[in-house]
Amino acid sequence: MMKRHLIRRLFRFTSRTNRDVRRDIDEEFQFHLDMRIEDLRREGLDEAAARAQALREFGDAARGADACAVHGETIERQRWLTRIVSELRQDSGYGLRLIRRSPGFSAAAIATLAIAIGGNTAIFSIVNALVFRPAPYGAPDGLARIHTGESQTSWLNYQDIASRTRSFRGVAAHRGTMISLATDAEPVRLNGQTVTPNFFDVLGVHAALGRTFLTGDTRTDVVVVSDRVWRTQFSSDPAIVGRTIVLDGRRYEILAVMPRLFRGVAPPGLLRDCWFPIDPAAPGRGLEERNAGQFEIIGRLAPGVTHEQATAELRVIAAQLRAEHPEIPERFAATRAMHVDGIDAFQGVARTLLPVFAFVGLLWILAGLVLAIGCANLAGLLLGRGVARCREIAVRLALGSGRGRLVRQLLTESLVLAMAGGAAGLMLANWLSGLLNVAAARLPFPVEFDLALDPRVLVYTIGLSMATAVVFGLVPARRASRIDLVPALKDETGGRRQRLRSALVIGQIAMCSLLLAWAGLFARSLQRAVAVDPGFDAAGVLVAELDLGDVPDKARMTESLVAELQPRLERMPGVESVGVSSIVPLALTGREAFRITLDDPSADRPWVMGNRLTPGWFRALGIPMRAGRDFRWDDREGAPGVAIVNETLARRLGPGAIGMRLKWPDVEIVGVVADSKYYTIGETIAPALYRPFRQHPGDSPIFHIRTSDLAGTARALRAELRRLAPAVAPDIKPMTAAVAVATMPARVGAIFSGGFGVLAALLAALGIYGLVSFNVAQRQREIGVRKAIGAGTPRIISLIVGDTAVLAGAGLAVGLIVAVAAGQLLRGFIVEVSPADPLTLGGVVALVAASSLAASLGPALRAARIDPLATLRAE
Amino acid sequence: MKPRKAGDTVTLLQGTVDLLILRALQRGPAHGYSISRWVRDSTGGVLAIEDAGLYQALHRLEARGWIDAEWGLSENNRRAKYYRLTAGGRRQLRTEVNAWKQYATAMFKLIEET
Repeated sequence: MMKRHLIRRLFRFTSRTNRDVRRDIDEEFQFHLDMRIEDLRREGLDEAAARAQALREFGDAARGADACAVHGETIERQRWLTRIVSELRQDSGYGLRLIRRSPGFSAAAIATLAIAIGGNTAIFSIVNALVFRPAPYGAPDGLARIHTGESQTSWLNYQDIASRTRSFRGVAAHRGTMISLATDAEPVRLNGQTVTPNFFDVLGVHAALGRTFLTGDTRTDVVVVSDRVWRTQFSSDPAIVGRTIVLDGRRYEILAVMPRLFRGVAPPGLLRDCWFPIDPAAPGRGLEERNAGQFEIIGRLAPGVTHEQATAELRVIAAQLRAEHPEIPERFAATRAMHVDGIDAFQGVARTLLPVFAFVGLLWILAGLVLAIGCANLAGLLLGRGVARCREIAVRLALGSGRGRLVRQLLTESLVLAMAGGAAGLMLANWLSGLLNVAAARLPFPVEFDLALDPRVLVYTIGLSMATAVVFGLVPARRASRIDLVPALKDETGGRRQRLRSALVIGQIAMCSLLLAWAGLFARSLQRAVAVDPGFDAAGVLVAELDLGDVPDKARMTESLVAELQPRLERMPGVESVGVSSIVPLALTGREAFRITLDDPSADRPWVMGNRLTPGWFRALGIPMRAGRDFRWDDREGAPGVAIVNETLARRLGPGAIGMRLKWPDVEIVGVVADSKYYTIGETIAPALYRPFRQHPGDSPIFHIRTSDLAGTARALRAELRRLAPAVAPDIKPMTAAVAVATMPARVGAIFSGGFGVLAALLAALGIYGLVSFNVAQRQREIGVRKAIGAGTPRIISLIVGDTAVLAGAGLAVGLIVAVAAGQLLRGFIVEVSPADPLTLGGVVALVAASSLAASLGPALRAARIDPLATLRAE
Repeated sequence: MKPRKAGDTVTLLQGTVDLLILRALQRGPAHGYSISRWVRDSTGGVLAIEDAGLYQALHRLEARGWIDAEWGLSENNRRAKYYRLTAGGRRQLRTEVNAWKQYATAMFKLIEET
């Protein structure tokens, strides 16, 4: 239907070609000559003489015509422009008048569009914040992340690269670190970055308040804080610069406050709270180890140097360093300079964020489906109105309005509607995407997306609105302009366009069934996820994460704190058992995966999930021991290495797992525990290897405390910490809250797809209602005749509802087939539910059937009340 | 194009054709031939515009927006293109007339003095 010539005809506003112009000029000249000849003959000249004189007086007709034609083209162009402008003004004025004249229709149309366009724009502004928005640095194109085969680089390697490279004007190192800010009440945990003094120079950013430290500064007792910390911790104190604060027990002077949403070096959305200089002289931080990768590095390219050239130079430096220090691993040779913008910013974290991307993509699909349903709805409404306006259109055509002109006029009306809907949608989107930041505020780390309206979002919304207008407006407009004049003027209408409306309703029901089916799957999956037994019992368990912060000899300090604190906790009233781990299962805060080497060199090396524990952890979580023993306090450094495996790994290792020695890590297996979920609720249980915390002390010990009084124990723990480690800010919460993150995808999916599904059902019901009421109005005469010859009310109702049932049945069939077939898309998000889940599909059928019935019942009853006499008399 | 005989008609100065057309149209809408006749008749044949040039000027003025054109029926029931002054054309005519008056006054002063 959308042939190319149609489009061309639609937008060819001028009706006159160059040949037309030429013909007019010839005619004008001819008229002049004829008149002159006539006059001269009246003065007495004969035909030939008169013609000769007229031609002589006229001069060079050919050249004159050429010159005229040039002006003629200019004139046509100007006319074309003024005509477009005036037609557009006329049509949009007319469109606005129509909006005012039929407020019900317009409100429904604009609301539909606002919801559909708003949903899409909201998703797009999230994608925009993640991918398209330039990173908040000065000239981000001139920045490069230096990836040394792994994302983290040792201090020594950083220094060597920074001093040898000529491709960079400056190279900065930074490292994330948790740090505790002392306040009047409890200490507060901040997400800090330890950075080299040139960090802000390299990024090309300036403070909003005060002055950041600069290249060459040597003070290490200074700190730059984020806008968020400034607002939440220092109540936006304008005189904050120069104030002294205590971080991890050390005093720092606040130098500056960064602008809002400055995030240091982090993927979009993830924020940092403060930045302080690395103290290269501080002992016990492993800075002197060649292979201790701790820092990420970022460089400012020298003018004119590309990322590729920088990479080439970095490769040379990497090769030199490897030659000088043979202990540097081979992957170091793959050192390269990467962009910091767009997709590249996710390098390294892409794998962890993949579900997020997939989820946003899925939401986009859902929002797109709602938009499609909205378009179908509006197209249906417009088709209906086109019929209602048949007479008006016929009159216009009869008065000589061109059909192209008419299509344009009707399209402009759609455009006016779409623009109004788009504007409302933009506001809705702003609110919707704002919800994201509200939701993100509940995550265990600072997250805030930069969702401010920018030209990209604006262009997207306007483009979408225009495309929407064409999609829902073009076919009805073409239909309307193709009416037959004579029957239309005589107030008769054909039934041909009904087929198109019916097809639209089938499409709507199909898409709506698809959305509802997916919503159902998410809901079922959520239901299952909550019911899934993770293998441990989170209820009644308190988790408390402690981090000593950036202190020397951290591992040993941590270990002694744990050894001191755990027995004290065990003696507290109400406490049943206590254990420390380095990772909270199902809390998405971290995971440890590595391959173990068996004694048998021919066996393959299985991947295992790891955790590091103190004695009592399994008891605290209610994970039963199957065989062997739990860890003991004397499983510490110096004692023989031991490990406990889960049943899955025990099966893998074969009979007699207890007592088996692994080649790497060098441990003897002393116990087997029951299986439990490790990272996500939907995973199949992976082999797990637990090692004693005291033999492999982690950075942040996490206490798991089974207690009969969560609040009381939390209070007692804080009091105990104030005495033992006053600078540490503990992160204490019930384990159920920490684990709730695991069901978040299913929860968010259920909320979003449920919302979209309800919306779609509403729109589809509106579509059905519109179609059926319209059909009833059209078939008044037929129904009147049927009643006159004896059809009763039930007969009439079943006639009307039966029509709807056919449409609904067709739509359902198509929608559910697609839902099941495309269910694979949801694989990563739904747990233990098949895309063909009979309960879900049955529910969708019931819901769609009920809503179609409800939508068609009103018009059907109206049809049943038709007075046969009145309709027949109207003839 | 043949040169006209001296004494018979005056060769027109550049730019005066525009003024003549605008002035002719001040009397009301007219087609090209009647403009040509009016110029010839009202100057007693002293001023005559070469017709090809007249039409070029008409189309140029139309492109500049000083006059408008429309097809209509002539006195002898033939299709003819009628021109008419636009608001911009009226303004243009006023300025050109004023400029000509100043120019002519200055020229006369100069000629009379000697």
